[in-house]
Amino acid sequence: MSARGRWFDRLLGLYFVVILLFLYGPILVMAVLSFQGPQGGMTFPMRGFGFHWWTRLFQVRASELQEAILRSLLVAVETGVIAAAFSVVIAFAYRRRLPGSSLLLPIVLLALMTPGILLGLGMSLWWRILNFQPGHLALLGVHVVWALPFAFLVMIAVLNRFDPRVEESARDLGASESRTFFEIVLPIIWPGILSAALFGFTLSLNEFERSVLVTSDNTLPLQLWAMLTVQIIEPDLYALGTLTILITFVIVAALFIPTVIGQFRRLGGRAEAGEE
Amino acid sequence: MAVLAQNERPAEDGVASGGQRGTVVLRGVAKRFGTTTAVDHIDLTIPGGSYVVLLGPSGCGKTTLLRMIGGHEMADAGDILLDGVRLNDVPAAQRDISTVFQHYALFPHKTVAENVEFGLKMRGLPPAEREQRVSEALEFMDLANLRDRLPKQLSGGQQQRVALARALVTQPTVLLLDEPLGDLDRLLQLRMRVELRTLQRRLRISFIHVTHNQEEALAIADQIVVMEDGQIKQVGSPQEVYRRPTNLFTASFMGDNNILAGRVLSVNGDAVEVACDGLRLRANGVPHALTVDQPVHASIRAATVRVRPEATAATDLPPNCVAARATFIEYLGDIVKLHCQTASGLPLIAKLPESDTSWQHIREDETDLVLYWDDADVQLLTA
Amino acid sequence: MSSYSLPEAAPVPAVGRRRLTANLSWALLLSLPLLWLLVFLFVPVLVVLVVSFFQPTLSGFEQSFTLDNYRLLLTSGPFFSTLANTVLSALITTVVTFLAGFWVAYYLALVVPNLRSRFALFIIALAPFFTSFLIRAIAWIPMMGREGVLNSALLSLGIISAPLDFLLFSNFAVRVAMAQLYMLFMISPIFFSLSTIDPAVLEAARDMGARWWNILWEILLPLARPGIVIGAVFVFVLSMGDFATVRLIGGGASTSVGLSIQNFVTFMQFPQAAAAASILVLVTVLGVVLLLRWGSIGEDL
Repeated sequence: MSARGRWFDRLLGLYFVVILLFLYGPILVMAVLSFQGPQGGMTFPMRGFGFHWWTRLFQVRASELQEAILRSLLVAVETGVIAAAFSVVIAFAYRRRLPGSSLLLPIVLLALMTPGILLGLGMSLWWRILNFQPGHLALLGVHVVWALPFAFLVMIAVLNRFDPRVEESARDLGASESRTFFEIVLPIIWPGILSAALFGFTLSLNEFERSVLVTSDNTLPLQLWAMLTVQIIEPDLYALGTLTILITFVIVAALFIPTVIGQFRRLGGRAEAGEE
Repeated sequence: MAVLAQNERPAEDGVASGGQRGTVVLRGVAKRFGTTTAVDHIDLTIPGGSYVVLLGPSGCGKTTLLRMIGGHEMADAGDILLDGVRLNDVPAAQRDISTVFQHYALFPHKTVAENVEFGLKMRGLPPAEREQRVSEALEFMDLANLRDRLPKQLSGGQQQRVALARALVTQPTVLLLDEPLGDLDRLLQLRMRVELRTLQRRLRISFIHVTHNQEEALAIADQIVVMEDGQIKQVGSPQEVYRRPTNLFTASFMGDNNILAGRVLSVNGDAVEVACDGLRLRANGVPHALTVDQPVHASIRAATVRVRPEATAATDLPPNCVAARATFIEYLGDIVKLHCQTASGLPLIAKLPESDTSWQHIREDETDLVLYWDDADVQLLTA
Repeated sequence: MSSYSLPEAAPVPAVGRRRLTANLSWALLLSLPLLWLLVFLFVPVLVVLVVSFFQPTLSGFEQSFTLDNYRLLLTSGPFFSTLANTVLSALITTVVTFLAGFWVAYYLALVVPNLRSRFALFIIALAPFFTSFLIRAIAWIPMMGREGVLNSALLSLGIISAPLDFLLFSNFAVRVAMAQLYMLFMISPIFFSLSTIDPAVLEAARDMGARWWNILWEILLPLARPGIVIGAVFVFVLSMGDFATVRLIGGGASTSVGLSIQNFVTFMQFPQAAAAASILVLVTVLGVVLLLRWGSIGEDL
């Protein structure tokens, strides 16, 4: 590497930090502003420092939000479970190259690419035509559609790491198809299924665009939207935002840290063995 | 033809390598990665226009050495010279050296012609000249009909020819080849090593070729450089390295040598007798001074061990003879390998030509044999 | 000498049958998610198209065919400027995320030396994506406002003498926020395609005299093209459909088709909403087709 190369690399490193600031800056500012004093507004300067708005969040807002939070959690858990189960089925069908399985990837990507507002509008109209009450099922439906592509991509990554010869040898030793799956395959890919489910959970918990036209019973993001567009907003909203972002980061960390370490061990080990 | 290298001359010119370009000299070249020493202060001269193979097990530093010559790795110490010019600070692109990378490293999105053209384009040659030289190079490597294919549409052998054309089109004086035959199946390997050798003869530039395959090195090289742990263990022609290993590592790495540990019994001029586990060896023409009772290793090539069926008491035998039985007869087509065990329990291997039918009468674990060999076939190794 | 006494091969039909039943049961299982996608993805999208041709009524629609919804939209100047603004915002966001995001992917895939830090940094860059979209949009408010962080910083650095008004509640603000919200969809696919490039290929290029801009132009951009196209499609589609950012950051100063759809729905004008959504989809699909053709992604797949 020439000196210029290193100089260029350093510049890129600096640039990466700038982009991280761009990505995280607003979140950090919001977190800081959530500690505004009681007289403080939605922007700087800070007028005092304290837990005023956090206290208000838990004491005043909590009752207002409780129902929405519970509803969100319920939908998120259901979405996680269903998306994970579906993703296992689709990923296996894809991997086994069943007839027509080449269509699975475009279909799943279509689910990812459909604009949320379109899907939400379609759902609400479709339910209206069927004379169904807008609500839980429709909400769950679009959330699974949203979470499924991500869960599927996780499962594909997991199955790519899974040696098919393990499966073949189980069958070779006389295990039936279902026993092979439940006794051999499932225990091996279990962590992958769990991360697919957590993915779905997080995506559902934070989903807004698909939900807004689909249900009249507010989830947490919908409640937030209502507060934002109808009420006068106050810094306790920042506290709520900071809280949900913290929760999401904890889930993401739980999701990725084991995978990353595993990935590192695997690839690192291979890279060292492959040296020279 | 006659296009790839400016120093290609008619064969009848026939001058020895003396004044040819492409002489690479390494002086005290060293490279460390963290705490491991990859290349440990190596001195080596590679004469211009010769085919040199760096041979060693993986991790011996041969690839690192090649990469330093090519400019892909910076030497921590020492000098690298090409035709008398110090190269250490010259970037890879400006060295008169091209590389055929391991697994070829072809540009996957460029056609054969675009791959070959790349180096010329980077040098800023005008399109017309690029086109002409690309066409000549493709013609030369017999790739003309594949010029618009993408690398993934080529067989392994074709990919290798593209990598060669791409490296040679810029008319280097030294070509570096990193495990060039590693990706090919065996039959193609056998053919390509002849082709590489022929190509080098035609171009008369230096080829420096890295491999871990002994047979490949023996077949192809003018000079073999045997490496272990970042150091050069032996340099010599294929015959020298194969017949006269100077150290234990070379003797064992070249394969097919019976290696025995023992002590010097007597020294008589350049004739030395050695005792190894109840077996007496005699060697002559020993190049280095030995003293009585000095521990040494003896190496006896399996192909020089001869066999006759005979039952004898072990004590009656002269030096370089030993009573044994075959424990396993390995039939390998053109040769037959007898895995034997001496009366004292030493394993010895004898290789016989398949046409020498005497092996047909030998029965495993039954027939009493005498194994014997010439004094000249015993190599004594002190290192 | 034609009688071989090798052990009999396992009876093929039995294995074949087992495989067939296995495939059959997978196919049955597969019908569940496909049914789900049918009910909650394909039918809703079709319903939108169908309803866009229905006659609006005061509280919804009646099932009689009309082209009025489209006629009304396409003859209204405001809708056209909304559509134009939506497309412009989406294009700008796509280009900006590419120009800004490519170097992040480049840094992660080609500069960061070891795998552990590469993945760690990638996850750190990725993490905000999982957080609530809405909250990240909210978080822009204190950044952009008249008294926001950006204005204060620019003021105190002496770059400007009076607060800039266009930082919040403007098209500019919406585009900056969208670039931030969607950049990860650009970085990730480019990161993955750059990561699959064999480093030896770059070394070979350098060996043949390529400088870094040659490598960028001749090797990296062509090889990253599938990732760039996928990222561009993602960002374009997402920003075409956006309405929350437009509403929150744009205030009343910015519009988008998504926002119009939401407004139509608020006033129970479902057929108009459906017609607007259909036009949105049509334009989006057109944009995607152009992107794919420009990227000619098909030739490599």
